[in-house]
Amino acid sequence: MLLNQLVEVNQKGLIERAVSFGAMKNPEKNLKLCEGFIFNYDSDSNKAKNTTVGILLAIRQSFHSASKPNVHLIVQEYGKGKSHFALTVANFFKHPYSSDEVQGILAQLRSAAGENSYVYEDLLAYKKLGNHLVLCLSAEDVTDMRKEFFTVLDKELEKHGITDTNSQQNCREPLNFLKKLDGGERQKAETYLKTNFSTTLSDIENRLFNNNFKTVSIAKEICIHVKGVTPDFSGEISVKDTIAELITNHCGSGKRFNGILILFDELYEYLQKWTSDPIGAGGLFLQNITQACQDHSEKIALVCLTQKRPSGVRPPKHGEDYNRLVSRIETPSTYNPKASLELVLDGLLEQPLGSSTWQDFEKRWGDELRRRSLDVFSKYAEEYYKGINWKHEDFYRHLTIGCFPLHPLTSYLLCNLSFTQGRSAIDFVQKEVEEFIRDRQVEENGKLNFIYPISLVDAFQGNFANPEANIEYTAVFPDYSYSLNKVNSSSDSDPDEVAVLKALLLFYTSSGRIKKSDKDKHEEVLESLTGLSSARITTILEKLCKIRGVIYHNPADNTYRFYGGGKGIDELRYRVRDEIKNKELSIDNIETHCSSNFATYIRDITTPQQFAEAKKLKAEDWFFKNEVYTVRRFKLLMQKKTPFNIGDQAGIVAYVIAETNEEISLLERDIKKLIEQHPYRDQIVVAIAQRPVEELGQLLLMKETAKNLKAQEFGAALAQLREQYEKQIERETKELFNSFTFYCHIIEDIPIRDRASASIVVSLVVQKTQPSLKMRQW
Amino acid sequence: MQSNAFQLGGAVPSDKPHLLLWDRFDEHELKALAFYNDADVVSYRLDLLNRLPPNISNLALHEDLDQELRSVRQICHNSHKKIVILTDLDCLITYLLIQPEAKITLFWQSLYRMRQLEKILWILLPSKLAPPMWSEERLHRLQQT
Repeated sequence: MLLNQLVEVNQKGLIERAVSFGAMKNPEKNLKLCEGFIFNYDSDSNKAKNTTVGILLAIRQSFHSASKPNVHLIVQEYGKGKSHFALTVANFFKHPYSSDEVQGILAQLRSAAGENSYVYEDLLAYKKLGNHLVLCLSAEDVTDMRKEFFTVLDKELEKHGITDTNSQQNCREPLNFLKKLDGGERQKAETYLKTNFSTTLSDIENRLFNNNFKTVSIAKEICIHVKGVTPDFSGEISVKDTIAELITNHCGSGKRFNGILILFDELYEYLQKWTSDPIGAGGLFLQNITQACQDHSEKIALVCLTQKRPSGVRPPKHGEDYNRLVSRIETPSTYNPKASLELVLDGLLEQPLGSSTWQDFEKRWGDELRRRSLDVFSKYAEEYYKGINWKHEDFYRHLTIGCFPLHPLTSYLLCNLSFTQGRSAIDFVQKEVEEFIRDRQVEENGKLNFIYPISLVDAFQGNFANPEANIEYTAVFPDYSYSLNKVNSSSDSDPDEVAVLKALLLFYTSSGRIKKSDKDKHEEVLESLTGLSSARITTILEKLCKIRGVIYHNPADNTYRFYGGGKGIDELRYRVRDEIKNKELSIDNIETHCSSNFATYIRDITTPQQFAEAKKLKAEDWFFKNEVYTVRRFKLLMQKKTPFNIGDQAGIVAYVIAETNEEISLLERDIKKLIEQHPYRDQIVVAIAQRPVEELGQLLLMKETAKNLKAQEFGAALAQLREQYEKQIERETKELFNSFTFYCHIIEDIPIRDRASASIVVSLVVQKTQPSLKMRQW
Repeated sequence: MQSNAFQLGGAVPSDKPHLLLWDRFDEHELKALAFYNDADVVSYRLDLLNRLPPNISNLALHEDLDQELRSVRQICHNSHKKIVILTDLDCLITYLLIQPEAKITLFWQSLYRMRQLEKILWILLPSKLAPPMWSEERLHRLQQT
């Protein structure tokens, strides 16, 4: 009997690889996605929380009573269907009960939870009550989330024919005002804009049309200039007030919406941007939404989705604010739907459990299946599934029987290995498994026909070569490829040799999912991974060790290993990078580094060579001392307005370093004023680095971390990596010192070509203080 | 290795942007590189000009950086080839660098963290404009020939 006479692959259930809210713009694709989302559910209330049906129910209950939480967080890795779930939730709450989208979702809910279950009936009844205003936000490709919030909101409201909210009027009022200006007034406005903003009226209208809040203040100025009155354009709009207004006017019984649901995908991306520039990334936008959730329970819910738990990350900057923000989002209503893929796979492979065909199959193979299942569970999976309260019965039901013809070790690895992310595990079932069951018999040579774990290697090969996914691959994969090429290039290569090499690769890249104790035989693990007999494994291992020379036996822990360079430099680099994630970047350390390397790139002092030559004086008598400052220290120095501490020098050259490009731009904007307002301005020359030092700081941290690693453990790679860091730091420091531009109180009198020379700038500053002596041209 | 013989198709991960730092090259070298890799060369500047509404005199690009990010994604979507070399992004970068209000760090971060691009994307830039935060693993320096 062919396998496809026993098992079917559900081709309708789909989890798209790259789902985003953008797919909702395409009705056909959106409907397909709604109909194809496979929910999972567990009737055990302790386990239900981390199933997708359970999460949907929790979101729905946000609108049920004030005692129910209404801020939810879903944590799941990339490629496991998180965004597809978000899109399904959005459609469920947004569309009417009778729509195809909702009917498609309800059909999948019914199939996961059962038609008569309480949860299905509750969701069905709730859906019949009406719709919600659903705002779908994603931090992907967005720098300013606050602005994005209003853009999404206004578009959504417009779709519902609502055009009179304050947020919509915010830009529209000034726009209407400008449109109504008469010919003479337009002319006046154009002249004003040209002189003060180098722009035109149609530009301003365009920006207002695109909801650019920042332009409102310009429109206000035009009104004052043209009409002579200050208009009532606010320019400022609050997220909290906007939500309050929507709830009062449009949500509740008899109104258009039952409530507001905000879905926020890629939260982790947002938080990363927020910690680097809180104001630029959206300010208090998210805090305001969580506050609104607190103020208007039952009427609004926020669901955030993230691939990493935010509390597990300590950002290099704004740590305290970050923790405060995270504590508002990472509440007890945080879900970790880890087991979802297990149940999804179970749902994708359909076995006719009640049929006579299946009963015959079970009679013949039931014991074998149970034995294999128990073996995999007790050796490898139990420890992991304990975390989600699974016993062997659950494992057997979902991953052994439910995923047949996948070997239980294959289905376990498929759900849990990190390299299966990116290319969806569902793809694997729908393509590879479909092919397998089409061509193969249920039993061959008296053995049950399984899909063994080594088939994952070819299917997910592209992901192994991805150094960002997992550091373990970068170390092992090149060794594996080398061994494979060597075996394949031999004229008598044997497919079983390749199978064993693949099994070894899986063993070493399983991130601890396949474990063995030192006394356990490695051969047994390789047997389960390949499906080869014990005798065959022994023969092949001997061949690979002695004839091919690509692996060796390590008696200490009883394993077979690839020959190779041991721990690779890439692995080490990722490890260091991983370690510094939780370390604070200190600008003061960078300042110290720059100060101590001064002499290499710039001298400790700047002598006004040209001035001294012109006056026939000793240049050393007129030197300026060079000193490195952070922006903060420099501003403190300039704000004091007291004499600089110059001792016997004529002045100082302050080399100012900044963390970010924004900090540099802001300092450059203010520098003229800072120098001019200082009473001792003729004693200072300022050099501002055009290159931010953030990266240099990271490199210094990494160098420091690498210094603490043990040479015995990492061998030559460590020395090589340290050398690389040294070189990178040297290159970065050199680039930094090459990037300074000079400023002084007479900078505008200095020809541009001379502004890059510290000596000439200092010469001219000194000359200015000694006007009685005329200088010759240099 | 000759600059134009560099293999662009091996970029990993293939769905995130990579930087190609090349300081001095002529059109022929770029064309040869694109031909060798069967890559599409797309100019950011031309794309921007095509996107602009008529009669606009002040772009204020820094006020809507998200639009520029979306356009990068769109360029990948529109291309019929598997590899895209994006040129002329330096005009946006230099503009942002001199705008005190521009959020260039956020722009670079968003570009760096961009995922799920439909094509392999190489952004061609002079090495001086490469942001320090960009990982060495996701950039390649081409030597001048």
